[in-house]
Amino acid sequence: MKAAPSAVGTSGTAGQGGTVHSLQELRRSASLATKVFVQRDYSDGTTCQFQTKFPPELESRIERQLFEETVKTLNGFYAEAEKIGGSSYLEGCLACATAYFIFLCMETHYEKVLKKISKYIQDQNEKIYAPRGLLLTDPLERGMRVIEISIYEDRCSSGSSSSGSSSSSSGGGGAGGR
Amino acid sequence: MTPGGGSGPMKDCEYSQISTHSSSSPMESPHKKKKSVPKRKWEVFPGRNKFFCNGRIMMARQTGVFYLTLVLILVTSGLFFAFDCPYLSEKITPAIPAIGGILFFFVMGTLLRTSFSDPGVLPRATPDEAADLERQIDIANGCSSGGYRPPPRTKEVIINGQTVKLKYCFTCKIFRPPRASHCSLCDNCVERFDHHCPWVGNCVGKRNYRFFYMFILSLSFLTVFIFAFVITHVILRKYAAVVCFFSVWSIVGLSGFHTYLISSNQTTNEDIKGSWSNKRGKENYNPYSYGNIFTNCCAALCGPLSPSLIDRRGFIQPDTPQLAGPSNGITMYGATQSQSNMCDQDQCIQSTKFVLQAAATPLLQSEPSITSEELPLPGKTSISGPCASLTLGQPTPPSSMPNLTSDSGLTDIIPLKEEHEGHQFLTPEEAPSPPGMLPSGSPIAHSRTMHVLSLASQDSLHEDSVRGLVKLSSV
Repeated sequence: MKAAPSAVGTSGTAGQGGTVHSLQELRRSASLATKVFVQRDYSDGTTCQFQTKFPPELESRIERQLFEETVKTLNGFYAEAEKIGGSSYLEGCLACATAYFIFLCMETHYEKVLKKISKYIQDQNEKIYAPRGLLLTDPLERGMRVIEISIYEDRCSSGSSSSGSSSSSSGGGGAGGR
Repeated sequence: MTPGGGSGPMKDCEYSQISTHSSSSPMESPHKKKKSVPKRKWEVFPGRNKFFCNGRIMMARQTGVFYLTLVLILVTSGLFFAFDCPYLSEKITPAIPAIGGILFFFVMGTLLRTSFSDPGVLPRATPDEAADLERQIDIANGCSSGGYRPPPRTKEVIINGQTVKLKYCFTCKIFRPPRASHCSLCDNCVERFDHHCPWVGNCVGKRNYRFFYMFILSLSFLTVFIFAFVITHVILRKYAAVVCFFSVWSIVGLSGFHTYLISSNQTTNEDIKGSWSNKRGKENYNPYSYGNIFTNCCAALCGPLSPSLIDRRGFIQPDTPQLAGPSNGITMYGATQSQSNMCDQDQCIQSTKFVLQAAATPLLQSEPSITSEELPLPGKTSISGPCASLTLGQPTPPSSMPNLTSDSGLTDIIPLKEEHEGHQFLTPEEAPSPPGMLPSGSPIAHSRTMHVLSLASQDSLHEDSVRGLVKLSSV
């Protein structure tokens, strides 16, 4: 019955021992209940932005403010990746001058930001979402169409109550840390 | 088929034989099979693309014309370097072959980049996503259905003060982002779709447009360069020679056209449809333009390069939800799937052609003049999209495959006129929107086509589709 998305596999292997433990626990002890999809917000054009509207299914699972902050930070990252300015022009002109052969050895600015994004998502999952029985999937794995949030149901009720108490403390710690 | 514990001795033998084949449970063996041969994602890619070098290179299915392009460029440049350069480098300056060499190198580099890279293909929706979207559309439509296809699924979005309609793609099961379009030849949705170019053997979209532009620009310079020095050579040697005069002007003209497109931040697709032209209304303007030519050029050519979304060389995770197989563009909206599979290839083409011609004739009279740049579309290839999704209801036995592939070859169909080495603009077919189809055949098909007719009246962009119709019917 467990149908964990691929993000679990990739984020479960990396990271420190303590944080990995919670994600693996999630996979073992929980079963996937449903998935929520946060769609793209095209009001600004074709730039990659996601809607900050709070999905009703998450009403009981996570605080609205935390969710909105996650989405806003992601939007900020994507805006940074697609920013047209001095450095992107330089990169573009240099690439053009070398007949784009430079892309064979150099990583583009966009790719660097995408790495930052995937780290951020992993971090958010470990600190905020996994303790609440939720899991964010990197939009890159879904073709930048949606942010997929998987909602897991805890099998043991005692586990859910304990995770609930730990989540509030970790959530407070996480918010304070940022 | 549980191993062991059978009733009679004979049955016990059979059961034990089966148990030796599969190790412990039926789930284990396919899992083990998968682990021993891990597949990369390009091997199960649902679009109609060809992949080389283990997924590093991606092209359209029809590559014949691309090889022709390569041959033309290589032969012309080769002849130039072999016969003209020695003479010219002696008589004038050795910088001529040097510059020619640099230009040639640039042309080949950009051509290969354009042809081999991912144009910005949008991966198809996972089953969960598709189900979620369907649910939302159901809620929005008020769960009408019945037995026929519902009205076209569109979302409206306001971008910079301009209302833009986002269409739902039945093949990819997503709402297309603005400026994206579904290429019927490659059977993919492509971001910022410009056009499908048979000369480079690939679609031109967001990720490879700048390479394409650099290719045609550098090719213009190269052809003008070669042309000029061949003339010089001819004059100096006083020989009569045949020169490819027309191709120079075609390429230069094409470069000029794309320079205009870049400076106004439009795609070929949008320009052909006249999406942002003033003819539609005084209020109509391009919401994606940055306002001045310089910024538009910089954004198109020097903006950030987004990465490929389809992850061709990634390995398939055993627990990842697999996308539905290459569907023929119909959703499970109460419609019979089997009927769509019954589309006989030739009958489909002919009946579609007949319908298009019949529909286009009255519309032709009211149609404004179409620019002469577009060449007649190969009808066979671009019909595959609407054909599969419309099923003109001929109750034929399920004979040939529903995918009308363009295996007949674009090279056969595209008229390779010498004076028009320029571009074939293949307007992409958007599955839900072909208007004006006449009802035919069985009642189910009738009701479906009735809905298609209501489609036409509701679709405010049907004028563009009419242009497409006109082109199609002229084949």
